[in-house]
Amino acid sequence: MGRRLLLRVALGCVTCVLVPCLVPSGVALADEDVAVPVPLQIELLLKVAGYDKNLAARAPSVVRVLVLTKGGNAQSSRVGQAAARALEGKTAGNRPVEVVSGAFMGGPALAAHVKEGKLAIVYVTPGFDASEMNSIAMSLAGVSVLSAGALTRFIDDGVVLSFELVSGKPKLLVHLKRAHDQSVELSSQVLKIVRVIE
Amino acid sequence: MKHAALALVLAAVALPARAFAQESQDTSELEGLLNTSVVSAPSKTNEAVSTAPAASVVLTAEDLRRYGIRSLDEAINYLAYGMATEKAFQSTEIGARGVLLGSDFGSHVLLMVDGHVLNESWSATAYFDRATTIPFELIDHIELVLGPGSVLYGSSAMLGIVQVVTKRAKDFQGVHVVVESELPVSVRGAVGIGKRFQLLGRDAEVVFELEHYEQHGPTLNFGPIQGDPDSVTGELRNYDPNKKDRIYPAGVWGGRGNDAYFTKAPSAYLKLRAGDFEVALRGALDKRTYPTNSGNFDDPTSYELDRWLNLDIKHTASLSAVAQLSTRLYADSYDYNEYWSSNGAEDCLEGQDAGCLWRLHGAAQSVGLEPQLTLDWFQDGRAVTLVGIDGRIKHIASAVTFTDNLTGTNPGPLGAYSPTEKALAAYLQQTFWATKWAALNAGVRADIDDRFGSAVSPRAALAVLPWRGGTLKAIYSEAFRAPTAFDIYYNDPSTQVPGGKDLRPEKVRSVEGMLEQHLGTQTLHVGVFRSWWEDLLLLSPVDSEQLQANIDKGLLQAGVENGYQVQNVSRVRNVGFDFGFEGSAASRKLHYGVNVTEAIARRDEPNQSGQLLALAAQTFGNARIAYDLPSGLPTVALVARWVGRRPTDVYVPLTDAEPNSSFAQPSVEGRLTLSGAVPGLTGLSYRLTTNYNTAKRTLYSTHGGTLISGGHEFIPTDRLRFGAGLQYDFWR
Repeated sequence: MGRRLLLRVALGCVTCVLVPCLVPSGVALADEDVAVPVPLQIELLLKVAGYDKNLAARAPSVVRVLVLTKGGNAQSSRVGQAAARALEGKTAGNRPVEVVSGAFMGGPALAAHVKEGKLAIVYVTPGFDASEMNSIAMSLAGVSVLSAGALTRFIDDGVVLSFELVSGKPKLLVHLKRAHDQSVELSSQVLKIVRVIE
Repeated sequence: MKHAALALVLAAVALPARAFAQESQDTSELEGLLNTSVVSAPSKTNEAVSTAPAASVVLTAEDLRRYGIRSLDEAINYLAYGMATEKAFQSTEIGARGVLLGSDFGSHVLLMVDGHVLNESWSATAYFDRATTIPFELIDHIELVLGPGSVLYGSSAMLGIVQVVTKRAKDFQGVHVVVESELPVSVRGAVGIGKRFQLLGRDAEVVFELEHYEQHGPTLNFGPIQGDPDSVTGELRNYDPNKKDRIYPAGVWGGRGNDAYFTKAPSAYLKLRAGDFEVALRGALDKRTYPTNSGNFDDPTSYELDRWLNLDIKHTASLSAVAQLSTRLYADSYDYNEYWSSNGAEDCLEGQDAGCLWRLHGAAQSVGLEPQLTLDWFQDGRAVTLVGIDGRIKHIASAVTFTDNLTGTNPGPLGAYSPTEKALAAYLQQTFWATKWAALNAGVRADIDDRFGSAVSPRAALAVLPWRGGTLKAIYSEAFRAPTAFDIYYNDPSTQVPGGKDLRPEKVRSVEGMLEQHLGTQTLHVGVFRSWWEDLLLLSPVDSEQLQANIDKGLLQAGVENGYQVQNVSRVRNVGFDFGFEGSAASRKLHYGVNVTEAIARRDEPNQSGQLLALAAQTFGNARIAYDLPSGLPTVALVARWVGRRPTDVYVPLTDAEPNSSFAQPSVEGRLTLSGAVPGLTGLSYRLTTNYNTAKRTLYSTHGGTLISGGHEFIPTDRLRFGAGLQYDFWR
C-alpha cells in the first residue's frame, strides 16, 4: 500500500474521530464502568432468579423483567437496549421471560408499576445517582421483586443483586437485608458462592 | 501413549462434572457462569473469552497466589496454554505455539500494563520475568492473547499479547505489606495502598505499590573450559578477577560463580482514577548480572541495567447516545546500559592490551496521542465500530564505548546514532452480532513509520454459538514487528555492519479454529492453528564483496575477515494444536486444570531449509490442582509444567545425524504451595512453596568453547528451592 494511500486512510480516520466530536450534542460525562458485559450480567441474573424460592409465586407462568432506564442518559439507554436484547427468548426458572422497558418516574411510581405489572425482576441500568437508588430501594421495600443493577456501586444504595469483575471473572453481590425486604429468598448454596452484603 | 493421555483428559472433563453434579446440582450452572473469563485486550472492550476474536487466556490473581506464582514467566508456564518461556539465570525468552525466536528480548510479544505498551522504542525489548517490574500484588489478572494481534496495537504483537491488568481500589482497599523470599537467595518487599475517595464531588480512587526485589546467588560451578591464548597479546588470561576465587590456572575459564549473580529491581506503579480521567505512572529499574556475563568469569563489574518511566493519561467522554471518545496521552522514557568487562586485548580496541570495559548504551523517549472513537450504532452492542489513530514521536539514541582497563579512558563513542522518528497509525474495527448466535469481528490497522515505511495488519474473526455452552471460532490475522533501531543502526567495527534503512518489517499471518465448551463448572478449549512467518531478521554473514565495501566505507576495520549484518532472510512455517481444560468442584473448593500445546515449526534460512528452531519447545503443557482445606487449614496447591525435547542454543542443523548433545531432554518442573491465613492475626496471611525441576541444565550454553572433558556446558538450573512469604493487609 502506498504511503499516500495510507495518509488518506489516516486522514479519513481523523475525520471519523473529529466529526462526531463536533456534533453539537455537548460533551457529556464519561460512561460509568460496566465491568461485567451486559449479556453476561443478564445470564447471571436469570440464573440467580431461578434459585429464588419465591419466583414461582411472583411469576407463575411468565417472568416479567423491567429494564429500568433513566431518561436523557445515553449510557442508560444503551445498556437498557443491550439488556433487553440479551433477555429476548430467555427463560428463568423454566419460565419464559417477557421484557418490559420503562423510564424511571420516581420511587412510588416504580413500586406501583411493579405491583400492577406483576413484574418479577427489575434491572436497573446506569445513570442513577445514590439518592435515586435510595429512593428505588425504599419504594421497593415490601414489594416482592428481585432488583438488580448494572453497576457494582448499586449494591450500596439500591438493589438486591449486583455484579463486579474481579480477576477477570464476574462476581455476584447480594444485599441480604434488601433481599429479605423484597421477598427474595436464595438458597444457602447460592449464598455460599456470592459475596453477601449484610 | 498420546491417545491414552487424551482419553484420560477427556475422562477428566466428564467425570468431575458428573461426580459433583449430585452434590452441587443447584448451583453448578451458576458456578459455571461465574467461571467465565472476561478479557479486554483482543478488541479493546470487555467481553467473554469465548466470543473474543482471538484465543485468549485469563490468569487470575487468585490463581497466582494459590499456586505460588511470583513472575509472569511462572504464570505463563504453569497456568496457560499456547505460550512457554525458557530461562537461563534471571533472563527469560518467550515463545508461543512452537515458535521461539532466540535473542529477541521479548520483542515478538506485545507486553502491556492497563493498555500501555511496555515494549520500548529502541529495540522493542519486553521482559516476562522478574524484570517485568510491575509490583505483583497490584496484578488483578493477566490476559494472554495468542496469535497475531497487530490489528489494534501495531508492532511486536506477532506471537501474541500479554496484558497485565491492575486492581481497582475496591479490590486493593487498605494498606498491604509483603515480604517473601526464595530461601536464601532472594528477598522481595512491597508496600501498597488502595483507597476510594471523593474529588471535586466525583468518585475517585487510587492504587499504589512500591516493590523491591533483590537476589544473590545461588552459587553455581562452571567449567573448566580451556581458553586460547589472547590473539593480540599471545598470553593466557586469568578469567576470574577475584584472585581468592581462582581455582583454575591462567587460560582456563570457570570456577565458582559466587560474585556475579545478582538482581536488584525496585519498581513502583501508581494509578489514579478521578471522574473521567485515568492516570497511570510506572517507574522501575532492573540491574542484573550472572557469572558468565562477561569476557571474564564471575565479574560483578559486568552487568545490565534497564530503567523505565511510563506515563499514561486517559480521558473518556460520551459524545452522544451513539458515540464515545477516549483520548490517551502517553509518554515513555527508557534506557539500557550493558557493561561487559574483559581482561583480553582481543575483545577490545587496538592498544587496550590490559583489556577494557565495553559499554552499550541505548535509550528511547517517546510521546504519543491516541484518540479512539466507539460508535454503538443500534445502541445495544449489536454493531459497534471502533476507530482510532495513534501518533507518536520517538527519539532514539545509542552508542558503544570501550574504556581501557589500565588508563580508564576511552576514545569516545562508536557507532553512535540518535534519530528522531515519527509514527502514525490508524485502525478500524467492526463487531457485528448478525444473530444472537453469530458474531463477526473484522478490523484493519495501517502503520506508517519513519523507521520502516508502512505495514497493514488485518484481522477477521467469526464466532458461532451453535449449542448451549459451546462456541466455535475461525480467525484470520496478520501482524508485524518493525525492525528495531538496534537492527538498523548497530555497528561494531570488528564484526557487524548496520542492517540499514532497507530492512523490512517481519510479518506473520495465521489461520486458526477453535472450540470452547462450558459444561457446568468445567471449561474445555481445543484449538488448531497454522502460521506463516516471512522476512524474519537474522544476523547473517556478508559476502566478500560486501565485506570489502563495508571496510572501504569505514563500517568495518581493515583486516576483518568476517562481517555480519541483520537481514530479512528467514521464514518459519508453523502448525499445531492446543488444548485446555479447567474447572472447579466441591463448592469451588477444588480447582484443577490441564493444558497441552503441540506444534511443528520449521525455519528456512539461506542455504538451509526445514530446520528446527533452537530453544523452541514443540510439546509443552501443565497441570494443576488445588484444594481449600476447611477450618482455617491452608489451601494446598500443586502445579507442574512439562516440556518436550527441544534444541539447545548450540543446535546446528546437520543434514544427516543430529548430535544428541544439541538437544535438551524432556523435563518436568513442579511446585507445591501452602497458603492461608495466619490464625489469630486478622489480615496476616502466609505462603510456603517448594519448587523442584527434573532438569539439571537449561538449554543455554555457558561459554563459547567446549569443556576440557569434551562437549558443551549448559547453565545449571536451580533444581530445588523453598520459599516463604507473609502478607499483612490492614485498614481495609
